[in-house]
Amino acid sequence: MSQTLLATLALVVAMSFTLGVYQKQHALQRATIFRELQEMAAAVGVETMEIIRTRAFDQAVVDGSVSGTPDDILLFSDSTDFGVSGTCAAFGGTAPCDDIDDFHNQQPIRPFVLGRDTIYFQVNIQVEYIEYNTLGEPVPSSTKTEYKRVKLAIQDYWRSGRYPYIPIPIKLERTFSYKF
Amino acid sequence: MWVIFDNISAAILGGTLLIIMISVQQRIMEINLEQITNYMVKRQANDLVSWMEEDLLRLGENVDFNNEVPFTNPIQNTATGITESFTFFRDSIDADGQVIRIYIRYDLNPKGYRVIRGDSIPVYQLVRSVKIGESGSWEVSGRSPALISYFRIDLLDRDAKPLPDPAGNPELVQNTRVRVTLVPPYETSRSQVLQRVYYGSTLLIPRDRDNESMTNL
Repeated sequence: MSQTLLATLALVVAMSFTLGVYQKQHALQRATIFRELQEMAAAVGVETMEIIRTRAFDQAVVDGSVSGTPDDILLFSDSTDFGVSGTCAAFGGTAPCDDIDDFHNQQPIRPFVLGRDTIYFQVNIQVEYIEYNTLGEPVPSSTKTEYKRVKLAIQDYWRSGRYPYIPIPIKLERTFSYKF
Repeated sequence: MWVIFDNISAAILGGTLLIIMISVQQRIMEINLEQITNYMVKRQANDLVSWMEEDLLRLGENVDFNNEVPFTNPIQNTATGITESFTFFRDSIDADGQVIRIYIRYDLNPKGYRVIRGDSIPVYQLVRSVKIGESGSWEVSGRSPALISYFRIDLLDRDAKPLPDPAGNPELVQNTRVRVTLVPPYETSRSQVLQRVYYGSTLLIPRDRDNESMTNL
């Protein structure tokens, strides 16, 4: 009886050890895939940020109503007017999106093309005015300023409905300033 | 012999446990090998793209884009989609104000095949050549490991779309985009975590542009 119990115990110990090893392998695989997807997500984020960077600071600049003085701030769009209806042309839609804040609330699906191995990422774009507090830190501003901060949140996107490998979206921020 | 038959249950159990322990030990070794392999390739990929980024971020530096185009169209292989060659230049200005033109060329040379999970994957080596001045000669100045399975350089417009003829439309070019994948130098006996290590980046071409926003980092 005691031999049987000891044998059973030995088997249990061996099986739990095996299970631990395979769990470690699974965790390492996920970590490796996660690392590669992070690399791709960062690349997609930078590319999206570059698209936004090439746009004018504000619609007032596109319209040519600015004069290059601090008074131009009064001409800038209200933050409540940020965004466009529909998808930006740069992301396959029809909205022109010719200034930075037009991209507010866009959620394009962007490809990371590698020959036949295309992987898609969803990019959530937020645009806000910021100002610098007394400590020199950028903080969101409810009024118009000469600074707009673009915040991107990037996550892998699978058409099959699979859960993303990147559980918490990768964040990328960049602040753009108006050239007086 | 009688000892074995007297303890047959213990012998079977002991043998089973031994097999389990050996297979687990082997798997642990494979996991470690996979991790080392992936790390090694990732490190090599980072080294490769570090000097490539240094080059591409200075593409067209000190060059007047209105008068000259500091790059040729990347030569793309239409069948595989890879970039076979790309040439560009920048101007370096010394303390005396003398301009020295520095040409850089990337050539992707086939280096055979690597079999991973039964797939035969062509691999390439990237060779970087430099030429100083118009009349200088090309000299090799850097090579990647012969593990590149995909390499693509595109010149992008403001919507991050690749331009089919960037040298013919330099005013439309905003960024260079690099995509590289490297394969591991060998694979373990079982299926590997990743067949390739990936890298991608979109780099700004330094030039003056009107009507764009200033980046305040």
